[in-house]
Amino acid sequence: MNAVLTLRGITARRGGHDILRGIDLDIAPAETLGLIGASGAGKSTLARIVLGLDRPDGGQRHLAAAGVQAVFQDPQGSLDPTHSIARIVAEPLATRRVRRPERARRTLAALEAVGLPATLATQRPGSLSGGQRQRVAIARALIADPALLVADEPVSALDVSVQAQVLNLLRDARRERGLSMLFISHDLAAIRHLCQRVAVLHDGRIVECAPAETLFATPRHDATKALLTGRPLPADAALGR
Amino acid sequence: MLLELDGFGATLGSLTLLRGIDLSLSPGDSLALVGESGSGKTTLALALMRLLPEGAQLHGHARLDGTDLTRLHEADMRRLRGRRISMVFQEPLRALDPLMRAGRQIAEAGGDPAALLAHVGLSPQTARAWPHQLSGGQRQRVLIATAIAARPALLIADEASTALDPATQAQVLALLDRLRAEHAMGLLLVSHDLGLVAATAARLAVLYAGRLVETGPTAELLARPAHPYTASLAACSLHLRTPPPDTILPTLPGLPPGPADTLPGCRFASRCPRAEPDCLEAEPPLATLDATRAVACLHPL
Amino acid sequence: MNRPDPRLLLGATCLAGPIALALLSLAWTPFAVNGLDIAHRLLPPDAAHPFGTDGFGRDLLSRSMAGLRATIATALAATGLGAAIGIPLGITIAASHERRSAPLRRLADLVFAFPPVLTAAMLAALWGGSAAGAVVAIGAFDVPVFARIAAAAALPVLAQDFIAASRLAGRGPLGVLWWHILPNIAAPLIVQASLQAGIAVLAEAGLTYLGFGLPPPAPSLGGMLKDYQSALGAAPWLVLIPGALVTLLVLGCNLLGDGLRDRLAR
Repeated sequence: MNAVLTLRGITARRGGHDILRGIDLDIAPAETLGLIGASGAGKSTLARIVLGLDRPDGGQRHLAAAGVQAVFQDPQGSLDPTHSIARIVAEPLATRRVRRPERARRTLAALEAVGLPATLATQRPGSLSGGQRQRVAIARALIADPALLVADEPVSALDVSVQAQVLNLLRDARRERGLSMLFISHDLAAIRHLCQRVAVLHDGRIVECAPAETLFATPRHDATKALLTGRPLPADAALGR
Repeated sequence: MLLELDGFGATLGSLTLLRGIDLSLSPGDSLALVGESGSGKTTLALALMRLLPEGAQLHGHARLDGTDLTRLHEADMRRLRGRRISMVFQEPLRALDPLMRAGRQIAEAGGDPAALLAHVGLSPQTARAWPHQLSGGQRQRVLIATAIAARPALLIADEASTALDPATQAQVLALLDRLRAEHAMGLLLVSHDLGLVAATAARLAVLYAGRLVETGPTAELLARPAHPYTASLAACSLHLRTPPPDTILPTLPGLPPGPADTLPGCRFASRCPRAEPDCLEAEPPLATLDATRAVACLHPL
Repeated sequence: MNRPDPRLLLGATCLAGPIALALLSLAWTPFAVNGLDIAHRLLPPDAAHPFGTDGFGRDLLSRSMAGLRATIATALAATGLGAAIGIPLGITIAASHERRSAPLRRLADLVFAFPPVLTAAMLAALWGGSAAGAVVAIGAFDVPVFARIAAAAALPVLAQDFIAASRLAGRGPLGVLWWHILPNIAAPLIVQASLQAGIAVLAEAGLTYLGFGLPPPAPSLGGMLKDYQSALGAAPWLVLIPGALVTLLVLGCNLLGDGLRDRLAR
């Protein structure tokens, strides 16, 4: 099958430093690709290039189908505080000149799909909890039926009790809509749970890319090993002592 | 006993932020305060530092080496802060002064920069660096160095490792644990994720909506949680067990009540899978299960 | 908690009277604004002429009403002009790369270095004194002020993820500016606009006083101060009343700006 996203030889320089030094990456339809790497490895720079928000300094980015949307880390900063929830969720429709009644209908459906009551539609982001805000962001990302969703640390600012809800939503989106996803996180447990394949970004390059099970069971590159062994499995340590 | 909370509480006007907290911590002991946003874990940490907003009132007793922090004058509290009781915050860039080199910040806190930097695993050159030149992990280490500069008896770490990548996260927690052991320091960790602190804290205290709902040794509490809320939190944490990939994760729907909600009965009842009619009648008191464990639930697991 | 700021109330009160008089002058004035009546010249305030009359027997209340209208219109037009050019300029500076926006920044500094009096004098030399000249001179002075405030306020907003999300939703640069940036930086701009309006009232009065503004016989507060200054000894009300109106407008704008700053800061 044709890849939804193809990156070939992507390079990026920021402030005189080579952040990305030639990234090749493919994401297949309905595939969730995990991207891990230490802080400062260039994960967010790569995300902005995949989203088309920044231009790479070299290389090619090709999207097979129209439509790439994002869910960001900070659910507070990703929603305009001056807009109502309904307006935020409907923005991708408003720019496509979808007519108002149709827009309202799809907005309520999108809110319902992420488990939010219709009564929230008229409220502003300030009165929502972190988990509710992140669901609004997911509703906005999914309303225009994108081919690819880039999720940049979507759960790391959330409570444990809410993380699971958001991960379940993202999983449903892949299974029910055949959505492809680039899932960026430093939470290895979340990556392991959600991703079919995992790529390791180190020093501006993809140093390892393998099916999730293989990567977690037999990491090959030293950078991968460092990331995986950085944290002892706390549960085992706690229960065993 | 280093720290002893006895019916400790905090109110702000008509809002009850914390109520009836009983906890204790010995020198060299570690305890993690765990709960969701709004559970009161950070409020409790700030209340012990006496850093709650103006107008907040403390109730009950909070004794540090026998000195009741709730009765102490602000001037005396200022002398304790940073010396006997110290705190590491979640966001190190905001807690460090951007216009002061790392070494000077440590010196200002009353410590020897060279020795402390070595102690937290940083090179001596770090003393010359400005905060913005450091990585997240380095900043957190500098912050820890300033926090332990005056050899505090009690160190509070509020989500000190949450914003870091996993390798750095583990290093910071290991560092805190080492400092605790070497200095016989009391360590109070604050986290929303049971899994993150399980390896570092010897004991857990689970907070919900400003109340202490369960406390006990970490291993026992995780192996056999008594409060349904503890069980839910543990089930949600991906760091405690690895669920089969691509399955639906257990969740804890709903939101905790805020300090303005004055409902009778158990604060968790509306979200509790085991709630019975009697749960709505009166707030369950914290009852001891055995020598080390206590739970505030009428129908414990 | 919701008690309105006393400065807001006081500021609004200061402005309400003069604005009402100016609006009323569009429809009605007690006497013709330029109607001569030599028999009743230099009358002190009384029942028929509450503000008195000037050296030509013209009713000062009617002239003050028209003068207020001219002064307020000039101040609003100048502030609006400054905001209309300065705000998009400031957001552009904030949004563009440091190196690319440098010439724009230098240009803003250059414009800022010209006092409005000098600009107005240059424009008057080109076109003769006119209300439009005053508007352009004061507006040009306002452009860098608004540009700076807008750039400083827009910078943190531009870094927010909702700007990225809006671009992904398909908004172009103008859509993002209109729907997301302007509403989020409105508070400091509204405050600045009310302060600049106060400055513009004073500047208009000053320019007209110097002869660079609205030419006589059409009244404006600055023009009245200039025309009547020689009568200060004989008919002090002729100078005191337009002076008091200028003061009231400037004070009102400043109180309103200060009150709004605290109310909108949150």
